[in-house]
Amino acid sequence: MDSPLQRPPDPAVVERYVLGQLPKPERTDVERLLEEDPRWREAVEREQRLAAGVRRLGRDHLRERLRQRLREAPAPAIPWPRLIAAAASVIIIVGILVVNQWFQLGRESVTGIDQSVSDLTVETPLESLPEMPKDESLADRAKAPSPAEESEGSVAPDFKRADQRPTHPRQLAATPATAQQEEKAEVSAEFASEGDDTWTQAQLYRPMPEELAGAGERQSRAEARRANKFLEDEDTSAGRVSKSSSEGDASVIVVDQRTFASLAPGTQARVQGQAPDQIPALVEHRRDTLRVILYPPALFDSEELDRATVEVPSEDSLLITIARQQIGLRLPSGTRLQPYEPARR
Amino acid sequence: MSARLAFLTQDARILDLIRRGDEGALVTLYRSCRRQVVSLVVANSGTLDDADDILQEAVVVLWERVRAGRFELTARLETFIYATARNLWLRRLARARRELAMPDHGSAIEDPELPALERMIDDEGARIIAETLELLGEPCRTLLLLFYWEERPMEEIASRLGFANAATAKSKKYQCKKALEQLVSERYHGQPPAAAS
Repeated sequence: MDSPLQRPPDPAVVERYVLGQLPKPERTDVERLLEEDPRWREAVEREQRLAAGVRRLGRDHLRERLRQRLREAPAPAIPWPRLIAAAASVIIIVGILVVNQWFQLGRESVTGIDQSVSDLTVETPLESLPEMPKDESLADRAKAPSPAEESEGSVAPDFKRADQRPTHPRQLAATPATAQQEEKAEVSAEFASEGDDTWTQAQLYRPMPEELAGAGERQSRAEARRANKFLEDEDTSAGRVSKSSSEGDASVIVVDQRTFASLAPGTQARVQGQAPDQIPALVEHRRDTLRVILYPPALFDSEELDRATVEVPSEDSLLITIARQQIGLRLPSGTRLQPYEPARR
Repeated sequence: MSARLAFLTQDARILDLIRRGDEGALVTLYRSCRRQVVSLVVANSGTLDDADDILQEAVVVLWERVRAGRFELTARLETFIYATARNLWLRRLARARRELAMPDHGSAIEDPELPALERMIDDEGARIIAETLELLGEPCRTLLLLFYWEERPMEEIASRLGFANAATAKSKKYQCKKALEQLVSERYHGQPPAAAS
């Protein structure tokens, strides 16, 4: 067998090397030859230039044909029947919710009313009405014990009770989960074998205006920190990012499970962004951590990910703040963030 | 008796059309991804034209991968196109920043993350080859495109271009490469293609 320096370039091997069709051992051989033999270097460069030129022509032609087709083919008409059906569905759902809420309000007020509504008259002029209390921040809530805590001596709020659910000024967009609509083909091989495969919606909030970024961002982060501190102190649900990184095309935020009440082990929640302001995301409970994976990434670098904060504005949603952007994650219908309870032995 | 394929998803249908060489599938994909890509590019210092340009590039990348049998469906096609467009746009921005920082280097600035072949596509040498290939005539032009761009096997190339067998097609490919190199030498002052750039 020829030593590397005596072996002339083999055109077939050079072609396959340039097109990336050589198996690994042979590729390693060629790479060694490229370091040692100028004839191989020249042959590979020549072949690469030829292949690059041919590909360039192929791409240029395809793009031109695509542009031509786009010019010729009219854009699809607006699917009015579908839009009308969707709008009707939304109206029906909203109607059901409103009626449901009305009945609940009715039940609560029945015992307190001792006269008919028609008999009530407003005697106090508007000007003299007491000022409405301002929306209290989560930090204020942390300082002031809730009525339930005072009466029962409990430290941890109970999310199942409506009066103890944490709220947040930045309410998430109420978008219904679309778990059943997602297709099996969208499931990546990495997660296909584990747990449930449900998706949820994530809403990418608009960044604040540039001129307000400095003060606004600081305020937002301080608020998030206060909220997270409160939630951690109360050992309820969470908000501390323990690790963040970029994995391939995804930005990953890992939340410490000790302070984060989360989905049942093995459960996943995903979102497939449909609108421009929605991004795909995956919420996944693995062992003792909760991973929030944003995919594809929304242009975050590692420093921004490290500074990310996670809040729990309600029992079925997360609010992730990264740099000046906020991402609201609505969990699938029926999935709730529960207070963390250590396993009993 | 004819059988009709039933596809579980729109993505599977598009991939099948691409595999069969139907470029109309790209139009469907282009339109379904445009809003997202425009939003991405315009929000990151780009224009509408930039967005269209990047989206076309991303769609061509998908076409190349599928046609060369190097595409595996692990996510929605729209997700793939969005991620590809994002990478292309970030790469373009990074390149523009480097060129801004070192204006004298111009196009000599290379992206180390790109494979060598991809880096060379924008080179002057590749442009010369592409221009000359236009003049080469058939069947050489189609043969070289099928082999180097679509990476089709010689058996298929022989069948599509009416050669007797793969060996004949291989021999013809060798002749076409020589003819192309000769034409490049003639057009660009008698220099070989490697030196013409």
